Amino acid sequence: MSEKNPLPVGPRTPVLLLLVVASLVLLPLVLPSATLATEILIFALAALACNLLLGYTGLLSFGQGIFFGVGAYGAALLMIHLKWGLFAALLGAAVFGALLALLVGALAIRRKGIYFVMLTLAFSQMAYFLAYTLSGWTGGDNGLLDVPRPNIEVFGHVLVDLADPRHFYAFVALLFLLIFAFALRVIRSPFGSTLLAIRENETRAAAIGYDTRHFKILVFMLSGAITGIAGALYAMLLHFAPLSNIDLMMSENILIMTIIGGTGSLFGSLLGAGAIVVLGDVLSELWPRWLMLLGLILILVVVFMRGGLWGGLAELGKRLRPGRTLSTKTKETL
Amino acid sequence: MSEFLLETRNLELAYGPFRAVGGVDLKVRPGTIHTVIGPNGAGKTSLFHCLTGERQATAGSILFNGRDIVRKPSHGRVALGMARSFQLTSLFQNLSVRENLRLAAQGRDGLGALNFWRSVEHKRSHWDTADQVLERLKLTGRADTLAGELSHGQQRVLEVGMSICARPSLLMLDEPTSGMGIDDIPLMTELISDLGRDHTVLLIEHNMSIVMSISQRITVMSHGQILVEGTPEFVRNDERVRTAYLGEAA
Repeated sequence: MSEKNPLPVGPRTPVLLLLVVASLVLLPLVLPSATLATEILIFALAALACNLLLGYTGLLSFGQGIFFGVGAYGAALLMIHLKWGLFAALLGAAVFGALLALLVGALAIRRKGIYFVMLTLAFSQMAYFLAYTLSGWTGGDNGLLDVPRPNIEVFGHVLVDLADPRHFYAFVALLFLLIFAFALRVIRSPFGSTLLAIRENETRAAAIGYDTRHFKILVFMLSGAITGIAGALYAMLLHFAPLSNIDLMMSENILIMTIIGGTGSLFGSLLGAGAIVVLGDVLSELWPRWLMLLGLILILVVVFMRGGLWGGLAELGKRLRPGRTLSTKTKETL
Repeated sequence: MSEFLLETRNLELAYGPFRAVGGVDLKVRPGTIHTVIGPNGAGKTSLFHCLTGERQATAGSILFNGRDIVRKPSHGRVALGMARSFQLTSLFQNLSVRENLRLAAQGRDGLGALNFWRSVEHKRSHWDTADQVLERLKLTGRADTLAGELSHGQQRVLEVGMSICARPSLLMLDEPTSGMGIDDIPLMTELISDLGRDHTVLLIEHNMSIVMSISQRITVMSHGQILVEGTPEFVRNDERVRTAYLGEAA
């Protein structure tokens, strides 16, 4: 499916987690607003989930926007109509995302390669028009308005007031760290190693005893759940769930962030999301046609930096520290 | 336990009106190296595909340890004790040699591979298997090399080696010497006869001369059917084999 470039070699788990924590602390300090920083983390979650499919399993999915949108609508509706709290709504979004992914995955995974991609594309289109048509629920073109952002409460007592953008950032950052650590564990588990095997050579993976379809559906569900959470957080951030959440463009953006950051590197997803969100923020003020530049950047990355931003940084690190030998590095892949 | 480890009954694989495998009764005794040979187009590979589950036989049955497995998908046959290699090298090119073997060992675990909360380091037995097989393949020195960076001959050796990681009772090897240089071939035949000490081996081979020395039993196929079966000595001297096969080669 995806072009097979050698896996980037990553640092050990504690180093990587430290890197993430440092980034999470630095982000709101260097960026003009906590809201922008929060937006980066939300898209980094979506890109990370996409990376599990594209980078680790070799599945190019144009359906990520479905799960993002469903997470946003689902959480919003649960909070608006059923008055669900913060954690319940996020959990609900994860379940919606996973169930939709099961539905899409179970059908799309019957086909391989280009046909798989086309099926995810078809589902994406269907989901968009469904959301557009069901305007009683989704608000249609206008989007779903007045989405609450519940506080963290214990027995009606407000523990953390999330209306403050800095508080909300801290909450999202903590959630990001947890999900990142979880995803890292998954990747370095027997399950994750099997995903890599499927990415590398599905026929061989089946021949040595793996029911590859089960693995693909499971990782699809995991990806759907994480993307659903990202969608829910985005709706809470904006107090609004626009129709564009479930648009094909959303799937595309998530894919672009994943590829620019570096497929097969979880930290790369944070870099990719950061780069695109910040670029969008800066460039859109300077020039309304900034998306053209984004296309150019994508071309440059795909042609010259196959490992994405992460690969570029790793290459730089290698040049700065030539002492490290290959044998110590090949042991741990990210 | 039946007399045969693997037995096919009237096995057939048809593509439309063409019967690539036309009613084959193959019987493989445990503990032997059993080779299926035949000229190009004899149906060896089609037969092999039915046995591995890559293709669904259109008629007949496949008994493994007395149990009919004809409808089992290929991944389901591994846990029963069947393993295979590929004619065209099929490795995890961008993973290390050791990881290739570890994955093959893990594959026998079935649902154990769904474990997502523990590190791969945790399951020592898979690493141990990988290291033992590395030693047997004489690839220990290249354990951390990416599989795709091995020499062609070494890739062929790894290809065969991966199939023993799941500790199968039956090894099915599809033309293991295919594409190998003349100098590497003795290495492979040595490896196969070595593996034959621990496993029952079903070997598919095009080149007749290299299997004579290592096989206990040889089945000659022609036009989708079994032409002759017997010891290497018997097959070598059979008139029909000469005309169908050796005649072509000579």
